[in-house]
Amino acid sequence: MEVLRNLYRRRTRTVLTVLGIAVGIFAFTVMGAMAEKFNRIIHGGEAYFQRRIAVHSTGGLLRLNLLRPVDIDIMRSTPGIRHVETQVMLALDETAGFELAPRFLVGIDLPNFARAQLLGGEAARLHLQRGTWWQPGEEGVAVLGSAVARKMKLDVGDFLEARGRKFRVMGVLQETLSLPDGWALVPEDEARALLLESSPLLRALALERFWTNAYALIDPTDGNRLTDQLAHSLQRGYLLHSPEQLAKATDQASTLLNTAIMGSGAIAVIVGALSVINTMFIAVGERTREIGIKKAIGATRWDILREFLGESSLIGLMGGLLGVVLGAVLTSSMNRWAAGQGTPVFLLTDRLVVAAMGFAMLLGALAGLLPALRAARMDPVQSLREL
Amino acid sequence: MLVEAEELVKVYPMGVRALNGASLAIGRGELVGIMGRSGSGKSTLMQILGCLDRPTAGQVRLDGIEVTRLADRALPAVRLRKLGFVFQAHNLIPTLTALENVALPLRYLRLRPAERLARARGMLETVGLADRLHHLPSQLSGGQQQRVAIARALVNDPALILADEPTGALDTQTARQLLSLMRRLVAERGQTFLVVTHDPVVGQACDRIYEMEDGRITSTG
Repeated sequence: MEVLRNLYRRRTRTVLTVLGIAVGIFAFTVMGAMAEKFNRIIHGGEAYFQRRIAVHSTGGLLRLNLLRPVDIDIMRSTPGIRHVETQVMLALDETAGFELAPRFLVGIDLPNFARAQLLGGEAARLHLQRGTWWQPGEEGVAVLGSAVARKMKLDVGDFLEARGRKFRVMGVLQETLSLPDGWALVPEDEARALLLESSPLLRALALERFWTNAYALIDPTDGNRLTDQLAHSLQRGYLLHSPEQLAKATDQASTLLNTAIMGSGAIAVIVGALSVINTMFIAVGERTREIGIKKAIGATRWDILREFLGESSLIGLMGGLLGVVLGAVLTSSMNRWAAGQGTPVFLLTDRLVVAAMGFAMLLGALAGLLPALRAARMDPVQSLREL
Repeated sequence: MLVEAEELVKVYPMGVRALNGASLAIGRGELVGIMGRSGSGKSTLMQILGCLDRPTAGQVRLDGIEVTRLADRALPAVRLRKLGFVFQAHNLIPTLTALENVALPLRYLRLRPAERLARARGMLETVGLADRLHHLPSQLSGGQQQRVAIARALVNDPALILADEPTGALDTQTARQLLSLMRRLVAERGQTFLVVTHDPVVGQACDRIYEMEDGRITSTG
């Protein structure tokens, strides 16, 4: 109670100091929510590739970036590769320009896709949120990722119009907070036909079967060995990523991103903490006589230290609470706006809220430490001379 | 004797000798005054007897404990358990009510909140402020504030209460009321007071007076 009253006694100063911390924690929360979102995307990708070797064509002659049946056969016949998942991927809307969550038409062969889902591990599995998958042989059908459905305001039974074709929406996938949210899955042959339509060169080459992406499904422990083996057996012009390489790359990207984003948020909080130091030094100066009286009637150094640390921690806590609430309001309203554009940009996780509050309180306490130590070490005789 | 001070010397770093061989003895249940002009050393003597400062030489025995031999970290416990303080003015913590001010030493004694408040309430009743429990110091008159200070000094049942010019900021009428309260506490509870003052009215209320001059006790009356 005394702590609260002391803060109330200097309420203007308290409010300004709390605001200083709140602004810092607000920045920390917003930037942290952005980092959490990127982390989720990065780690979603990591989970997806945990049991997959991704094979990309570097183009070779004519830079077509395509995989042919002969390449897929080489992969399939390699011992240790349990399955080869194939996709034909192309931009859903070439006129869309920059998108926060890029949308793709992803052509899949349903039995091939189903087997990959089975072997790819639970973390990489896509689940239907509503509707059904199409039947093999059906045409003009699609299953949409959550961001595509939201952005294009489509639901089961509606029609997706993409690159001049109409696809009846059969189902909508659960949100993964990762890349598949931007996918519209369609039958492989139709995606391939669309790609051919858009490229006179491909038509001239008269290719019948080709894919843009292939993934070798493996046991996670076999990643590096099989990647080396495939690098030898496939012709030149392919880029292979083992799960280990991808995990390392995503970890590095994630660390770099977290350091940059959280670091700038932390700087904002530290600036707020400086205002707490200032406020607490003023408070100690003003209450010198009080400290003297308390020491005279038996307060120990620890009693005095605890009192001032309590005040600065409470300032930190209040600033943290206000900052997190403001951050939550901003990120949720930005997300509502961004949801209309495709995918939310912020992810306010429990651990971020706990970290922001803990950080605020810890900084409050640390910022109060020097002034509190000065108060605790005051000579009672000197302090009592103050009026 | 409750308090025995022998040959106390206090020399400050700049070479000022505030005490120059002062000795005194106070028995239980006495109201003793220390009088003297400004700069005679009476405040320094009170600070040393109150374990707020240490003498350069000499010793103090308080309730059987030779406090001048104790380590610095042991002194807050002596102040908490053996002593009570009343200062001239601005005695109270402005953010605490009268009741909370009186209960403060008990908080440092780590008593439970309910017990603290019960004892503090009883002490405020003793000094005649049962109807001012929840008033802040700014809502009390000067005399009432000094009575709260006395209640706070009494609440931990100290062996000795040190009062530094307790009537200095009060009018004559209020000062007399405060002195009569102190006399009543001596008579009814056997409380011991050491009062530093240069007010002759206070002097008259004391059982004995030590006169101080140039850091020495010059006479006892």
